[in-house]
Amino acid sequence: MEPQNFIEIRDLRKKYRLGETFVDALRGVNLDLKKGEFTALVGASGSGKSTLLNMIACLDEPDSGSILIGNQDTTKLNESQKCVLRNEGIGFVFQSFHLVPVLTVYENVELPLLVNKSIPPEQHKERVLSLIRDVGLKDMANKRPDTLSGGQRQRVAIARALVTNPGIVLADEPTANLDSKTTHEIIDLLLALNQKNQVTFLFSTHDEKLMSRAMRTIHLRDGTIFA
Amino acid sequence: MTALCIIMGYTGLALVSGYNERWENTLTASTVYLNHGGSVSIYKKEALLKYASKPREFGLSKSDQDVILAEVQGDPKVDYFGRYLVGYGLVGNGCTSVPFLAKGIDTSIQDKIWSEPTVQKWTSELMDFEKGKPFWTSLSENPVGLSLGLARRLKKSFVEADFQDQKPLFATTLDCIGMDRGEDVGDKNASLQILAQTHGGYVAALEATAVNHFSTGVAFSDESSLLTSLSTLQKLYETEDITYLAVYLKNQSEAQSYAKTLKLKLQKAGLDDVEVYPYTSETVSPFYVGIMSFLYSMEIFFAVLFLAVVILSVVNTLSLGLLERKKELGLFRSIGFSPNRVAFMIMCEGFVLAVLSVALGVLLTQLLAGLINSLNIRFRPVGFSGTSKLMSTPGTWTLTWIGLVFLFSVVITSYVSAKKFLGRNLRSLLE
Repeated sequence: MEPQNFIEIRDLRKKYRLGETFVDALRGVNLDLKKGEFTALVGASGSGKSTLLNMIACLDEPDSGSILIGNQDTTKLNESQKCVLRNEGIGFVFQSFHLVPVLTVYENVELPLLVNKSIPPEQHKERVLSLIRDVGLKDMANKRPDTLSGGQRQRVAIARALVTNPGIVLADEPTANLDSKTTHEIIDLLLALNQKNQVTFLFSTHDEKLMSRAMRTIHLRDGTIFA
Repeated sequence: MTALCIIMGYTGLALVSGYNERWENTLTASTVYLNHGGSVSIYKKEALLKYASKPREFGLSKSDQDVILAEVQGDPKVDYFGRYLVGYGLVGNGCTSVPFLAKGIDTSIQDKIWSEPTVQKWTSELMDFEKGKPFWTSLSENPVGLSLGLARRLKKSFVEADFQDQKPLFATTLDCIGMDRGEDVGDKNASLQILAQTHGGYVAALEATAVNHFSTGVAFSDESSLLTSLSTLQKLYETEDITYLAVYLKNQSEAQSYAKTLKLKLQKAGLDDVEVYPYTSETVSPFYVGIMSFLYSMEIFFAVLFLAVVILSVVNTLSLGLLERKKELGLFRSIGFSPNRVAFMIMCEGFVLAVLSVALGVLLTQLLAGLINSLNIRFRPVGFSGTSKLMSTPGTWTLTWIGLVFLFSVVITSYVSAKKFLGRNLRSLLE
């Protein structure tokens, strides 16, 4: 039996104002993702990849359409419900890592747990250390981000995205700022975590290597999915 | 930058408030004690307007005094009390006479007044005689103190102490024309003649001795004030009446409530034609109330000015800081922190910054106040007869309330600015 869709996106539309003109970033996107899928979102610059990820992550509002994550229509949630969803249901990995420079690796990974209500506080330390270990930074828990390499920083960001045990991790060009060797390492890591935790991964990329490792590739052009 | 603004704003306002506090303490001590106003004073109704022309009708008679004393004596709130007689007349040096305004004071409490800690601390400058000694320590029959202006107008440069153990000379024949021309006519004595209309309507005179020259501290009263004992003045006016009775309370802040209570008590005791004034009443202390109103207005003006500068600076620097931390704040929002929670974090940062800045402000205030007070900068305040030392003495309460106002303003400003900033689109925060 075919597994149920974890994410269902229907007729999603978004326009941005650019000076005097409006740009159609998304023009009726329809997309289904199943639980545990490792999916690449591919397209040229300006095709709408980041916009789509932002909409799914509740970082931006669509003009119309619906996004169902686990049967919950996120376009109908109020701000506090979105906060809970962003914290408990979605992990996000940014291209430029977005780590807090004054916090250690441990503290950066722990951050989402500070407002999390589903994981008991006594489990926080174990969970954070376990994830730091999983991303290969066991000995660096007390270091600050500015002492780490780009690849190590992205590992911290991945650990942070997974710390609340979300159903989906979204990554916006996670390897764009990394060299070829580190890119391979990060892809391996994402795949290992996907298999280990059965988390749905959706990431945008230009990287051929990353595309080739994905279970599924979705092509976006001019705000619509064409393949 | 924000911290610097808070420190400078706090210090500026604390020094201005400290300056006002010094004057409030000095004026209170001067009004209540040195000028014998008392914490509360009891006059016959309308006496302040009509006593000068009808002293017999608007003075407190012996029986009035007895009723008042029965209510005041033994009251645990009362420290002590004094009886005072005020009168007008002429004082002469043998050649010329000039008008005076005399106050006859209850010398039995004078030592208590002079040893009051608040008097010692805040009005020590005013207690120093320009010349001579306290008249209540004199053995002369009718000792008087002359205000500086009165002594100058009488050309009376000698006081009792200038003659040590010798009896002051009484000039028999004076060259008044020479004296008018400012020549030395050999008038080396401290004797005076005081002349007034008695309460019975006759003219009476007394031979008196100048014991000191003093400054009232106030320009308009320095030209004509004469101080002597109540008994001397009662002798001159041939009366047992007094003009007012002053009650000195242990706690000055109770003056207003005590005045109300005392008035009710006196009415019950059958004395309903008297008025009881606290020292803060404009009717009996117009100079005190006028100056304090001006100082409070000035303090409010500076408080608003300094706070406005600090709040605008905090808003400005905080906006820049928030802009610099845009991505960090966006990250917090993206991992599930609510706008309120992030704004609360910014507010906590503002609170810590304000606490540290206020603490440094307190230190800087103490340092600068100490420096200003030690420099002995003298100036002539408007309405005062002499110079005064520039001082700022902010007390603990002043430092605390200014600190709380700054703390509250910075915390609220931080929260409101952060909330406004976080109201932006989340995607734009992360860009």
